[in-house]
Amino acid sequence: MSLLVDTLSVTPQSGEAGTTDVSFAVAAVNEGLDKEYLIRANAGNASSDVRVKHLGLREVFACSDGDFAVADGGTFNVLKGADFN
Amino acid sequence: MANIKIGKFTISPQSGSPGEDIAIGHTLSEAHTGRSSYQKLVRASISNAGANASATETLVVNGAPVKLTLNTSQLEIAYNVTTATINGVSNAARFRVSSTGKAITLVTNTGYTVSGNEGTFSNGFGTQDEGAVAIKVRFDANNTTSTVTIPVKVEYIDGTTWKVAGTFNILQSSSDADVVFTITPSTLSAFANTGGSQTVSISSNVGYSIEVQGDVSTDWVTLDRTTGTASTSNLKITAAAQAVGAAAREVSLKFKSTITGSVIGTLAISQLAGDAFAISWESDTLTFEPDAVGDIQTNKLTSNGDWYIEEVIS
Repeated sequence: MSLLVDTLSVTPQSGEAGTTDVSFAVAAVNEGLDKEYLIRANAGNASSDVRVKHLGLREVFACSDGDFAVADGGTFNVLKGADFN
Repeated sequence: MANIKIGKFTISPQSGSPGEDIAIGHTLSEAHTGRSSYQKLVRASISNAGANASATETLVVNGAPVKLTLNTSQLEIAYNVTTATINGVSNAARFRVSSTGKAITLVTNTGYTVSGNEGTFSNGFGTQDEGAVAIKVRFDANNTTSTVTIPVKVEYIDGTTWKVAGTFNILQSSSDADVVFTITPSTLSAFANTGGSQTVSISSNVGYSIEVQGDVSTDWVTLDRTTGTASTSNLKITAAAQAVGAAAREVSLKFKSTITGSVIGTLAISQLAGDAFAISWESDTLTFEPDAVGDIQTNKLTSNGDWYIEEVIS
């Protein structure tokens, strides 16, 4: 039996005393922002946490020709997926 | 249909297909015995790629009624024994003792501090779970020729009200100058939580029986004999191992004259608490690349008790 947390699965979800290999897997590509889950294992009144990060896709951005940032505001165009120079 | 354990709750099913009004069962699968409420947050999320939607619910169990239950109602001791331990179970914050018989004094024992005849359990005790209590009282020896009954009234605090848990009777045998009964050594060291054996030498000028008393469960103590004659002979006392997370425990041996039936000696037996629960991950952080679908990362989990995993939602 697995613990399903968003796109993360943790298997098994429970067990007995001893040392157990617990498997972590993600079910989908993360096209958004980085995700982070805090997974806690409990035994009696004791617990231990593992932090699981699923990074989001990094894409290269570039400025359109002629764009620049100015101190008094304005539009700054960003081109997703363009080659970065 | 897979279910999932989250703290004291079980939720079923853990996952499903899109739809409206999906019935999710919530069961309290473990009794909540603490006096404070118990709460868990549960998050449901859409697992499709690119989805970023979730809903959180709060599961609450109200606190259990405050209580202090005495495990037994009576203890028999010899005339020269001046302390007794009253075992029980409680989720209260404080308790007090009083007696209409002999004067008694509450003395410090594991798990509480003393102010007068009032005891305050350790900080946090009883809030999320009930626990074992061992209340110790002191009184004078009985140098009369009659058995004395010392009724100890135990009360506990419920909010601002004192409630009676019960009365525990200590039957202190009479002094008998003709009986010569000695136990060497007269006290035992506490047994380790792994169990073990200790041997004492008993000298008596009368025959006697031996019995374990003082708590609901006394079968963790075994004796190599339960009777004795007017002689000097050894008695081997064996304590079983403690379970992980178990509280310290204490009982006593009662030696009764086979002639008069009076208690001619007692011997306290105690054992240290079991090992504390311990659980740990080999790695405290795992990182997946964005497209690591199908990759499996393994993390070793080591525990000395049954375990389960949950998501922590802040």
